[in-house]
Amino acid sequence: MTKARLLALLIAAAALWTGTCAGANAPAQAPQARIELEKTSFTVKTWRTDGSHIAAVKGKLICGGQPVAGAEVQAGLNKRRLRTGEDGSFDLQVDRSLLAYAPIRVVSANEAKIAGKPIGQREADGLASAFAAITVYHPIQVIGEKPDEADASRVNVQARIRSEAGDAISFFQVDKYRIAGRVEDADGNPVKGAIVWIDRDRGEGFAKSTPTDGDGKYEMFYWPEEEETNLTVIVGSRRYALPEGKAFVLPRHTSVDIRIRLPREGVIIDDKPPTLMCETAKGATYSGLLAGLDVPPEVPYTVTIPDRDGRFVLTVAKEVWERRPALFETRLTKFIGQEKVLKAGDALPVGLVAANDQDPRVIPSAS
Amino acid sequence: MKKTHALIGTALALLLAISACTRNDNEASPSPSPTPEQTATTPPTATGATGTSFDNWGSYGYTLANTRHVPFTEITAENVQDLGVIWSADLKALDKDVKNGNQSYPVVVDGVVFVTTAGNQVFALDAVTGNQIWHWKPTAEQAATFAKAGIIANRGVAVGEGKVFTLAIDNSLIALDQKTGELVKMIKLSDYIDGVTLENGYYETTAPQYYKGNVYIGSSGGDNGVRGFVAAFRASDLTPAWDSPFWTVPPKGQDWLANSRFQGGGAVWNPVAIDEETDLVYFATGNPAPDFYGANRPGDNPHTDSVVAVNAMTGKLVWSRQEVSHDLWDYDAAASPMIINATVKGEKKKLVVQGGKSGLWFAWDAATGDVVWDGIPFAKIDHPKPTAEGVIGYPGVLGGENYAPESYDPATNYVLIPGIEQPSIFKAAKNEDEAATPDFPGAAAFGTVVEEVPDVKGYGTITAIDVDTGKQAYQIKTADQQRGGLTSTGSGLAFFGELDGKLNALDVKAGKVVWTFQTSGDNVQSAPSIFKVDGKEYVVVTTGGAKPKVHVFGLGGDKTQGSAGEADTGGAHSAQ
Repeated sequence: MTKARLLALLIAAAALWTGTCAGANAPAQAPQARIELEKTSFTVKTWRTDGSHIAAVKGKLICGGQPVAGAEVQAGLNKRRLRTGEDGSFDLQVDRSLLAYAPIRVVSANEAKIAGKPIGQREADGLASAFAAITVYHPIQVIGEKPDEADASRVNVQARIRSEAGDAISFFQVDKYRIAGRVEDADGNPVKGAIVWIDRDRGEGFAKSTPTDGDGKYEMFYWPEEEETNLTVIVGSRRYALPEGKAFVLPRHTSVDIRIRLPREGVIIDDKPPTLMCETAKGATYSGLLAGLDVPPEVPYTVTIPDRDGRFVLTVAKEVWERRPALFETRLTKFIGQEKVLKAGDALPVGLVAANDQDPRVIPSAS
Repeated sequence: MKKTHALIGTALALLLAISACTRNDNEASPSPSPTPEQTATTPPTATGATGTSFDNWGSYGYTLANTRHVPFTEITAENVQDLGVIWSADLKALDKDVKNGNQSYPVVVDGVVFVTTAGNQVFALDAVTGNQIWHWKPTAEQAATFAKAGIIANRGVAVGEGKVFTLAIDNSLIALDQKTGELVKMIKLSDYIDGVTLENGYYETTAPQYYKGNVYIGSSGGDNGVRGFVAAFRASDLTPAWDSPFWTVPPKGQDWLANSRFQGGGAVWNPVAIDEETDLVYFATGNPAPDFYGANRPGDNPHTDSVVAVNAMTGKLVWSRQEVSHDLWDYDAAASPMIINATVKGEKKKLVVQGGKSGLWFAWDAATGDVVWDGIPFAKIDHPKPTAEGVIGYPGVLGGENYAPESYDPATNYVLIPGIEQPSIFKAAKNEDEAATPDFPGAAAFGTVVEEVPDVKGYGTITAIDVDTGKQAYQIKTADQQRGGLTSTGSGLAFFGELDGKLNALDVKAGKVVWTFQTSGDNVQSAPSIFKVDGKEYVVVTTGGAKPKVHVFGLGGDKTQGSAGEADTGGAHSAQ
């Protein structure tokens, strides 16, 4: 058996164990309920034109050893509610092209029946604690470990995010640039809740900012173009714009700060300093796949941006690593305000990479 | 107009450039001009509609097959001169916050006309009298987030399960009570489909479709580089009906988007068609992104500029056929496909047909996707690969056939295609070298640069394709681009509007316009819907411009005509 397969089995076994355990934790009088899935973990398979990255999975809801009909289960938050059939079964489609950790729970037992009879409170309680999960992940392989040269109490872990042969995936890299700045009233006081828009007369591209905060600050992300760009500020239902016939040309390859002072009267923004100020700014938005260590936020570690083959380095206290923590994988989009353009091999700031609930946890395999 | 740039000098503002440009003013003062016959400005006096028997125009394209052909025969080539205005309604007079422009395709159910407006208001009007039955508008707070020129068009509603469904610019799906117009539920699509937000470039202009308990939607935003999709929601509670949307292109960073620079496009910005016999959903997809720059999206870019068939209950792919491979000219398959039972090469066949912005018309076997007619031209076709300096290409970026839908007349076996004959200057992005620079992997230009060709005036066409032979039966010219679409009748007429505000009737077999009426609206940017109440046949059409209106025509109506409008030939999404 290959190591990759062994890993998949370990993850599957962990999910099954969790399902059984959750049922066992239900009130003592409740019959044990479980969600059976024919498969719970999938490695990422990139998007295919023919749709073959979508996997069909059959599931079954069982309570007290009997199938439950007419219950609704849900795989992940805000996803389709699946109604169980007469034999307790349901069908699920899993998009293997996207990382996922999708907990499956019973979300309604109102019309549930066992052996043709409506269920009682005891069964409902049991169903409420039934649990399973679907995981879509890239296998991670540990290639080597060595003491950190700068600090012997830390270890450099060289690891690799693996993909299926022929699959191309993108790791963390520059994605967009930022327009940020401040909206002020005619006296220079910050305006809260304003929205800044850019769009163009030709083409349909546009970008919309976050509402300005208490300091009047906003931000938005865009692809620069060598084209006239309209600038509009919306405050409530009032719309401020550049003078008729005026437009921005935004620079390429850089973020910018635009400070806008709104007029005391009318809705035309005076297009010269100090009422309209534009300057280049550092930083960019990055986006793509990263791995991180599944440890509490107070445990510091650094991770590098993976290279094109998925190789990255994790630097963490030796004692933390020796406990063999799981890793997580995430597709992260984040603005990083550094002058230097980050690229593969660069270490990311401590605390930048954080997991969310939908990110898969992965137990790395040894080299 | 030639643009000149002048740099503004400031201590810090080294990068702010100002240029002269012309822009349409979406906020032009409303000028309500109620026509004498208008009755819709009166407050609602009843909750019911006039009439006892109704032949409905039940969805965007009449039926879910989108054929836009009604069997009605009361209005004929012989009596069409007696057609006049039964009522009209000035939507801005009904609500001052209605925005300029209108692309709403009316839906008429049980004597009630449902129309939407730019800015996402919904009106329910008595189909016979024009009396307002109800009216829904977003809150000022919500409207403020999308009250922006250029992207506020809306193409209508779906009706089902006692509810009226519509989509708003800010990617909301809205369910209203069909009888009262009260809000039943509104969801943010981004709560269910990751990343579908205005901030990410998504917006909604399309009409939803209702079928078997589900509401089917797509989205706009392909030219913002969004990832196109079709999704299904349960009509009962607006929760997802599929496990995931059908995504038309890979996630960013995979397959032909492996270099991660763009999201891919392939937006589905017009309503789906649904075969009620087979539970198949068909939809047309937009161009790949970025539109005129293809270096970082190698290959065919499958499912873009395509017609795709998926299972209505699961969203699972059944077949997909591409009209333009590796598109560099913004040649969306834009208009909704039609499902037609037609005679092909002497045999009856169920087809899916669609005309693209490419100026090419296609027909496929509905079940298998096998090619029946492969790219029949209905416009001049001559489009070299774009260069940084610019090349003149036919069709221009508006098409071909834009979002305006076709109709199918079974009597003649003709498909009628609304066309645009106008070139564009296509300019490729200048930054191929820069885009490949590893230090700036995400800084590629978006690539959308297009200009009008000077001294070339575009015009419109209506092309009749004989489905039996795949050949043009005829093509007629119209003064302006065809931007609304066609609707045909059992008596051999096809109604279509024009950008100067005229509504015409075409004798489908003869290819002759037999009736023209100047509405009091500025321009027609949608196709008429035709329905009957108590056996009488009516034609309803919306007009846009600075005074968006609804006109309902019938035999014996008022023949007083309006003054000629001025053609609006702006972008397909513009609402001016």
